[in-house]
Amino acid sequence: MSEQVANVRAASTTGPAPMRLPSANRRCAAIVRMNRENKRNALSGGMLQELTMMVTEAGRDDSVSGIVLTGGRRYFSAGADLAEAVQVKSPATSSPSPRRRRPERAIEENPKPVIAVIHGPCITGGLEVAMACDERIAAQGSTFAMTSSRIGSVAGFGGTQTSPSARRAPRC
Amino acid sequence: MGLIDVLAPAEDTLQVALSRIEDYSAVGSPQPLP
Repeated sequence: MSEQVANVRAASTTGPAPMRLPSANRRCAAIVRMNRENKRNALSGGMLQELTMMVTEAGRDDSVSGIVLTGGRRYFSAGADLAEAVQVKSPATSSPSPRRRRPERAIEENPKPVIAVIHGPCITGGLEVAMACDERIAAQGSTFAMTSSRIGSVAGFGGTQTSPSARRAPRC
Repeated sequence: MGLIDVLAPAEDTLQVALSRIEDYSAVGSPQPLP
């Protein structure tokens, strides 16, 4: 996506060793891409940690004027990685979420504007991350859902607070 | 704040986002939520 525009720097979540934002000599937008396409960008613990770190790092970088958060062309995010979640043995190990895994906090408290670019499904945890952003730019055909209650869970990243306020019609 | 602030053709979304960041740069960064 970034090759079409000048003056941007891009980094993506990659697994255990996240890419760092390359340095730049002038202010630019940082593009942070969730990159777990084979899992529809499901939010694993590792990915949440990377995402939190990258957004925080970009926010502290004086050369960055703003942050674009995207999941690429096919998915924004399918939400929490349920395959990982079912391996939790006790509630004590899953709650509360460590701060380092709270990307919505890193986004909300970020001194730079964070814009979500959404293509495709944006579900539950992914929607909560998007809702933490200052604005959401959605491609036509994108879909949104909050499905926590289907599995007897709750929106743990602030979705119960942010979603009810998001009822305004978009600009087209 | 809306669920979707801008609905755009897929090929335009990134450019719209970058344009919005330029707009923010012109008027100052957003304040953190309380």
